[in-house]
Amino acid sequence: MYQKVYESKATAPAPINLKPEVLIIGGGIVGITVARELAREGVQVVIAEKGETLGGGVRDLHFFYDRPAAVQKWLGDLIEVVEGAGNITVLKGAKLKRLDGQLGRFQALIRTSEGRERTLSPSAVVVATGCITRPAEAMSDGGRCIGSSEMEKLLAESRDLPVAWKGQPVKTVTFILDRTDDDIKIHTVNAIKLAVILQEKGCQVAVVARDLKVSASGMELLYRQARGKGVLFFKYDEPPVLSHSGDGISVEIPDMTVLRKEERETVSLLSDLVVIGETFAADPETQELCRVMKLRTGAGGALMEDNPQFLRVMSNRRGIFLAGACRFPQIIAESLSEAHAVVQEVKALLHGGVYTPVNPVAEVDPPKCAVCYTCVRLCPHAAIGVERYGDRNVYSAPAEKNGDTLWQAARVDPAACFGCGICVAECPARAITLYQ
Amino acid sequence: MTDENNHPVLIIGGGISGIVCALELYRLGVPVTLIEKEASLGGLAARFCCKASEACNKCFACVVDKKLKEISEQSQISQLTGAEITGVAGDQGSYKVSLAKAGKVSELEAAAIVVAAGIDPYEASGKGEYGYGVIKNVVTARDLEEMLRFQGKIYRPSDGKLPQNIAFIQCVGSRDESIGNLYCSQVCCAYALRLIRAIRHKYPEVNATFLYMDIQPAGASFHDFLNACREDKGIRFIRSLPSRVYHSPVTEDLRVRLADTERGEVVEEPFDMVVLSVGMVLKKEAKPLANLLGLGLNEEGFLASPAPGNGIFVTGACAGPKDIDRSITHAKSTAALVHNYLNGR
Repeated sequence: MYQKVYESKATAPAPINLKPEVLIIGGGIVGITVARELAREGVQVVIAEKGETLGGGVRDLHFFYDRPAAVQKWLGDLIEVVEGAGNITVLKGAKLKRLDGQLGRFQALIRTSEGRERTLSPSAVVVATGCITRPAEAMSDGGRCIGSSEMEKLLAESRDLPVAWKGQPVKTVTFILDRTDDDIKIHTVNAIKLAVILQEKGCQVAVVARDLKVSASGMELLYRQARGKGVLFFKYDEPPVLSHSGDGISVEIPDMTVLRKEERETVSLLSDLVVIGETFAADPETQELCRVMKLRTGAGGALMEDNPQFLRVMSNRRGIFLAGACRFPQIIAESLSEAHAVVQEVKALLHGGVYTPVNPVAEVDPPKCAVCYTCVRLCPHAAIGVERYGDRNVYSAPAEKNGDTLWQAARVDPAACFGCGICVAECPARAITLYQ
Repeated sequence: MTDENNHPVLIIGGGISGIVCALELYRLGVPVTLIEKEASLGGLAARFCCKASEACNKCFACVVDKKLKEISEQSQISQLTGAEITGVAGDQGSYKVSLAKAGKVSELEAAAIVVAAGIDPYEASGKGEYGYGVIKNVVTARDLEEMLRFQGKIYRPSDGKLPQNIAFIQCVGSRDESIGNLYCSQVCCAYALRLIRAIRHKYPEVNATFLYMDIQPAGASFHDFLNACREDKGIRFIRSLPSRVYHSPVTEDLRVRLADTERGEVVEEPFDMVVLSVGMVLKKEAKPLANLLGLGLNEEGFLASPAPGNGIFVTGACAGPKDIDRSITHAKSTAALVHNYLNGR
């Protein structure tokens, strides 16, 4: 049996004024790109970066896989633009301590490392906090087993000289992929990119992978280039076995290119260095941030859209957007595409300077409300709060905290309501109605 | 923007990328004209079916339907279907474009041009060894998908029966030097696996064999999805691309010759049906269009990004293989760049 769900109502919710002010949490490549693009449109932007420098995870990169430019120069130029822009304020060592209010009336309390506090009232908030990387544990002592970012650094520092590690020459390097993060193509991209450079510097490189993730523009060609230069590729079903052998590490792997099992031999790759990409993980500080901001997290604690299909880059709260590695680690081009999509969403939201609630919007009938907080707890969009009213039935500005006139009831903020109807269905007092 | 130059932004291609770009520019108050050569909007993505199994598998087919509905209700976006570009003159933000619609030629001025020409599925008959177009029960993943979307069932083209045992061959038209396509089409692994899951959900008795080179990931929830596929007893993963498909002219049953690394030998396995996961190539009509606009091709054979600042933009899969999700994100980001360009003039 279906019931009539929507009630129609003569008075539509009032439009909400939106000032062109945006808070961006995270000063990585996504955060600063969003800042630069919005500032170009005349939006006042504040970047709250928890560390002391901008740039985030890209600071560990030195080479692009698809162009010869130096990453740090590119990043430095971008940071210079952002730090020099008149309408961008960069707060370093900054943490969001509180976020109150809703779209158009957000109140953000930010504390910086010097202990100073600032209150901002942005119209929209962009979360671009990135992720963390953990060194992959391949061998107990870790020696000669390095992360991908350390290899980038070695190569960047060696310039035209042969590659050396702790003063010793490096002749053979093996990259091991897919021990973790089998859904992230960054490792394959970095390994093949670095393998080409190492091979050109006279090293013998092998790449050992379960699946070579070449699903990025230009990667198949780079993979071919690497093979042409003599990089060896091995694919495995069972992870390779690592053991110490003399001064290096021996990586043992069955040669799957031989079809007949009885003829299949185990190949031993004697390596001066073994490179294993760092594992990507959700930032524990992002978890705390999500609690403060009432944002939803998905698998592994990563941030997640309210609806990953229909409401891409939008969080579960209206006016709060997500982009970049805090959602899912991607290659730079893909993260930047997401950053520009956020720019588009923010521009569309701020366009015209007002937001008019369009969805069916839930409304509480205050006299019926028993203040049980069921709707407040259940609302996935953090759209419901409990407010004080001067009197029963009087929908006016909250009264003074005066014992005589204090009356409480739940109130749905029409700007934040998605019209999902969960509160309507769950209210024990049947005090909530969806209005179209 | 000055008044005398309030010409619309011309978006060429009414597939998902063009539609999203038009809707997004409209949200920013930019006048838009959308041109589609076919009789209706939607392009390739509108022919995909929902690939949910027990749960949504994030194929994004439903998003295309929603965006199509949105634009059909949007009377203020000028939509010209059945129209083709025949000439482009002018430059730098003041383009004069000639259009042919139903035999009539008209001219239109544009402040900027967005190319969202899209892609064609690889023509599978180009890989003669798989017998597409010759052997009845060899179909492309798109054929299978259209069976599901428009007829609600899958069947063997030869006898209309439900195939019990299907082979999915990956990388048909992708990562293949013999045909000159030196790129990964990026979507086919996830696409074929989702299709397999959807079919296995609808017909649990159907078994699938997934023949591949490397499994390419697709976005945030792919890890769990792939694990679910690997745990599914009805899906067999074999890392091997077959060398040939043979068929019996009497029963139309198929034999696929492949190197089975598990068994360590070359085998000829019987299948009821073979599905080719065809990759992407730049849409045929995009090349003459690129010539008109002075656009080049990149080394993978897709449209190269034009020099910034001349008011021409390329978006969606015609700039390089993309799934629906990434095409939409790309189209949104292009809309922001177009708006920025218009403001900065």
